[in-house]
Amino acid sequence: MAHKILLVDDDPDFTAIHKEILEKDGFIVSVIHNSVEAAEALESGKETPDLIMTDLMMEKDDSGFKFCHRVRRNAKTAKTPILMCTGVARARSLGFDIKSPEAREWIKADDFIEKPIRAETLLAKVHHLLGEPATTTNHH
Amino acid sequence: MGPTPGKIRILVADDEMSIRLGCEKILQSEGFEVVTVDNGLTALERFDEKPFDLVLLDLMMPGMNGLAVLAEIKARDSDVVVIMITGYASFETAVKAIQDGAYDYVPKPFTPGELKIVVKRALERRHLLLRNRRLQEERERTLRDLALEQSRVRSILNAMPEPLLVFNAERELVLFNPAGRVFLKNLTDLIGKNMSEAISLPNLITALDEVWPKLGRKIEAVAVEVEDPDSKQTWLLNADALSEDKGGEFAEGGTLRGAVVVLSNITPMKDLERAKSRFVSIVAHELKAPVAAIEGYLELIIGDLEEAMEKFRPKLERCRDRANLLQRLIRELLDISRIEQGRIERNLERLDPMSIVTEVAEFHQLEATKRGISITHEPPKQPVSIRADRTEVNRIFTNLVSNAIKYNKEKGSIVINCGMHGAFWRCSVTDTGIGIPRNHLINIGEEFFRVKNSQTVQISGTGLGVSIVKRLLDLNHARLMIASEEGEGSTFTVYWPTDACATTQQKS
Repeated sequence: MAHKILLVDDDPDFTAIHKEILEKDGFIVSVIHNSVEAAEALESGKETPDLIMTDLMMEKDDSGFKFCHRVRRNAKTAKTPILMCTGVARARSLGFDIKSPEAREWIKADDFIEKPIRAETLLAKVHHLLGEPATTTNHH
Repeated sequence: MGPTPGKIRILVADDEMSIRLGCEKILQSEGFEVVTVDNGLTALERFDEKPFDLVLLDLMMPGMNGLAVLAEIKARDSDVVVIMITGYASFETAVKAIQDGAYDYVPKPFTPGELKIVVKRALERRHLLLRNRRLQEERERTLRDLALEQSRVRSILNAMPEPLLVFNAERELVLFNPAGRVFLKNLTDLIGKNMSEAISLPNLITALDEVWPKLGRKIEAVAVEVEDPDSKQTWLLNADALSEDKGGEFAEGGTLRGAVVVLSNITPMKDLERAKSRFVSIVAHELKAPVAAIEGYLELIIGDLEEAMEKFRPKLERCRDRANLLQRLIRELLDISRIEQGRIERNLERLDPMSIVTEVAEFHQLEATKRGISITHEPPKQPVSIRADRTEVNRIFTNLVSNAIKYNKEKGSIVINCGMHGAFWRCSVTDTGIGIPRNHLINIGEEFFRVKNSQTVQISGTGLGVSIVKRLLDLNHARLMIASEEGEGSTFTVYWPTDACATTQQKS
């Protein structure tokens, strides 16, 4: 059965691009443009993704981090892998060294990806987080 | 009373008419202007009317006697030469007169010849006195001018808005202007104090310690930036060596006499620089997302192109590549502004840079192989330890190696060579590429500078790669040397200070 992925990003262009890349690879993708709404949808059980991909900076600079916390506190999603979209340098400039083990523990995101995202990189990371071997994709 | 110009004037005061007439006749025949009086009071009146060079004064006159008149005349003009005429060869009185300031005496009666000799000698004396007086006045004038000149220089220094501090070779404060006080402790006896005791700003002492050893070696002035963390002001310290000779020009190998230190407040320039960095950073951030979106869409379109649209593929791919370059440009602009603003998080650790260079070389192997380029990494002979941030070292050599691939010829080669150069770790990246024209060598590392010619037009680059390398090296007190031969290739050599460097610097 196809995996479900929830995209959380306030930029409609990025969600559109990432959605298309993922759908071409056979995923079922849903999109929410606000981190709080996304957290609520996950808590209410409206969204039951196998993987969550979120941006770091949305309504606020650290919306992505706050969202991750809520996701982890929610029993339904405590174990759902998260792919966070941010640059190492960008996060550092906001005061987070996302490479440090402490930060990883605190942020609770499982992997990071930096925009602009290349299709191959995105798919490789997603498959890795889902514990699957990277498939040779069926799009050209 | 000054010297009398023109004719020499002689005053004769004697109550004996024969003496007056005799003297007048003899002296006038010698070409002198002669005035005769018969008593002391009239003598003084005449003297007050117009000064004389020589006075012939009778000792014994009715009314005021000769000694009294002598005292009065000497009081009026100490340089006037007085000859006493002694009536009855009173030796004691003559001696007394000479003690009181008379130059000579002539006993009565005297012959014209005797008078002439006495007057001649007295006038020589007068001449000498006048010359001495003139010399003394000249000297006094020179001293006055000098004092005036010094006070003028002092006023100029005091009016200088820039703080000025002058130290001797022993690093003791010898001079400062009022503006210089901002850097000095509030002490009364600052002059002669060692700089470390006199200066209140620790950063300035550190900067001077850093600059001082360079003073003896370099002819040009040495400049460093000094920050005052309390007032948030940034100063540019300019130190000039004072040399042995008065000209002030310091010759290489000369004896260091001291240093003139002038500080200019460059806070406004720094503020402007910061504002510029912030602006660049904001603009770059704003550009980042839209460009990434454009690139993403283009990627999707190209990946999904229908048969009928295939003719657009080259143009679309070109669009995507340009968007990609724009993306890289934005990223590098952000890096530069981050370095400029000191907003980079640095994890300084002791590390072996060779391992990072090896990693970078291996990482680029695939890209190089695509163009038939070989990368030779000569293994180091001994381990090296430097204090650095791993990411920065990686970034530096990534930029250098990727440039070496980018600007290389097809089937060219890249040689990475590491070793020690004195207390510096040296690592050079040599390519067999297009090289850099001699006249452009100096521009390499300037932001957005790229050599423009038929060869480089095919190579995509942002013009920021070496600029970032230079800035990162600056942060690490490391240096970049570029050697290049057009058409043959280039060598970029990094010199990185090692721990050995720090100890030798402390020793010197």
